[in-house]
Amino acid sequence: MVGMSVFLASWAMLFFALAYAAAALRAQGAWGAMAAVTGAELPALATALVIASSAVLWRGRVSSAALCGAGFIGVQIAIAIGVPHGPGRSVLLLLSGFHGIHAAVGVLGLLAARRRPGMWSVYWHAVALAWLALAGLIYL
Amino acid sequence: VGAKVIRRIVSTDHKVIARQFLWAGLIFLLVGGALAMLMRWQWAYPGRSVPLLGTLLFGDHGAITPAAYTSLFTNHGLIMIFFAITPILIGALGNFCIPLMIGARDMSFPRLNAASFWLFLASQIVVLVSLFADAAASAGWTMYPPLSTGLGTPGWGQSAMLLAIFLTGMASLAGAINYITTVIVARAEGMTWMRLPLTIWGLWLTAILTALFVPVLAAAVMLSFGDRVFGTEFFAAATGDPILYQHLFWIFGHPEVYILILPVWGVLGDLIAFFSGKPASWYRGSVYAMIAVTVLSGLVYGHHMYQTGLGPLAGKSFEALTLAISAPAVVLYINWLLTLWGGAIRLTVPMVLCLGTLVVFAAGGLTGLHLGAITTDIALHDSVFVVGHFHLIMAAATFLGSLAALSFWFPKMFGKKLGRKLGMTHAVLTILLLVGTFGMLLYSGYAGQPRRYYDPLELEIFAELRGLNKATSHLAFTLGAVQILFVVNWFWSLWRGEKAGANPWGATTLEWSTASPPPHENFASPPRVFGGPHGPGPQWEEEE
Repeated sequence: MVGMSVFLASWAMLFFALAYAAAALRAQGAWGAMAAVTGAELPALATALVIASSAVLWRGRVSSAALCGAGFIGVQIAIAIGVPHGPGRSVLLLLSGFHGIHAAVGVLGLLAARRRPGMWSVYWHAVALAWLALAGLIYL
Repeated sequence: VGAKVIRRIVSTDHKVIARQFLWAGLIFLLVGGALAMLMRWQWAYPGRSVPLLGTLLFGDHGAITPAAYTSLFTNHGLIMIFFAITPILIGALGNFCIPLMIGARDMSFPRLNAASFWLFLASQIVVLVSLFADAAASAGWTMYPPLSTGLGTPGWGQSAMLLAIFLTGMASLAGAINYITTVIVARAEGMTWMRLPLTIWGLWLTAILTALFVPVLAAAVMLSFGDRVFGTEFFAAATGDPILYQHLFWIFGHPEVYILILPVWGVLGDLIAFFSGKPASWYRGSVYAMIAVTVLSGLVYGHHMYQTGLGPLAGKSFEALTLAISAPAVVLYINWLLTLWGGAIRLTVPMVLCLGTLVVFAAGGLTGLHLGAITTDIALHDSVFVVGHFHLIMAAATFLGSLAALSFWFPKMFGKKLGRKLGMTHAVLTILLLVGTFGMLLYSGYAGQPRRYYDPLELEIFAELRGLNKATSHLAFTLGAVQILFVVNWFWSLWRGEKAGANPWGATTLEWSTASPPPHENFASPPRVFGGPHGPGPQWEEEE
């Protein structure tokens, strides 16, 4: 548990640094709210899925959580394919993509440890929390 | 049979992993040192063909070309910091000392520990491959955009180097998670926080800084890699922000200095106490000072960026915080001196190396004040004064500190004594030559010699510095040659060295209570700790 906490704190710094870079560029006007470019529907759906996933995991439904997680990743890929060229594209692909890799690892971890998710459920809640922060930064 | 061989090579024993890190680091130390010698050749004899290896390395005339020179100093810096000092000081020393000195059987996550080494080895291989790229990495060790973008530094060598840094960062992170956790959960009975050897405090705080700030470097490297390879535009001058990279780099880069020096401080605290025959002066003060430095180290990075137009408020704040960091450093320094004061000093090889570290650290620390203060930094920043300053800390102090640690723990690591005569000759010559080489850099920097130029003395106003540069280069060549003594002594002692007993130095910390080298899982029975790390008696309960 100590090890996992240290890892998550450390890994959070990586997300902080990436988000800081994106936020600094946004503050300089290099890019703006991406909801205007991609539309709000798909990002809202993705966010709803990840919240639902975290909620059902909280209630002990590991497989359902993994299913919602897989849905989340699918929607994220759909958004990424459709995003038009422009300065915001770099930011969106980097942040969503890097987060998506972690989500994929989480889904596999949850499926592998269906019976006793333990550490994986801590990891998955962290992934969900990270997405809420990133979604706010990217789309709003 | 295959599985057996693999099990023997891929060990999860922290002592084996420590030795693997040590060999990998020492080899790259030689590579990085050789690159430095080539640079010094160019500064002494610009455009003249390099003896012996010239035609092999640089083609036709055997002279170093401007492009080759640029990749020399880039690779020298990156190799020394990430692939030589880090594995020796943190990979080898951390892995070896932490479980033994806190009385644990091994690290908390032995397999993660092994993974850390193999990931590190992979990163070293990527570095070696990148040296043979169409164009080797050549954007300087700081890799600032726009120079480090595809326009400024074409070719895949720079991208491969970014990948290597990312990999080695992940390896460091795996190590740091292990070190932090192990010290928290695996201390022996009676080993309270205020009984930890200072070496462990240094290594533990280093691990915390690594865990917090290496991810920031990883982010900077990812974005730079994206710009070069995937066509993103984070640091492009037109649509992104090149200065943003500098912020990310130095948020990591300044703590990195402390990542490398904190273990040395810890080692100095313990070794000076052992060889002065008395407990470290104001142990708690040293611990609090190291913690204070750890906290402050994340708040001072702006002093690397005074010239970027930070603005007066930010500049002054960073200046104040930077100068404030000398307060805890002085507490540590005075404690070392007070430990020496009135002690029964034994001038062993590790002790002489510690005293040498005190000298170069003082010189490096005091010149840091010139660069922490904005007014003097503006004048000195682009001169080799900066190179002299950070080499006194990052090269001389960490190198001598590592040598002190290696010669101190050599008997415990390998069960043999390291030869004293050769060791002492090497130690004294190395200290004198380090002070000479880097001291002269301070001098020519103060005279205005610019850094990073292919031939800085081409400009007529610096022409009279040629003699000084030649002398410095010859000191550096001698310094390089003297390291042969170390290599000879190392291998001779491994092969023919006198057998070391469990406690050849009469030291008082836990690792000396077990056999040399220690058996698998370290201690015959779980040790119990009864006192502080520096005596008067040993920390462990002696058998009746």
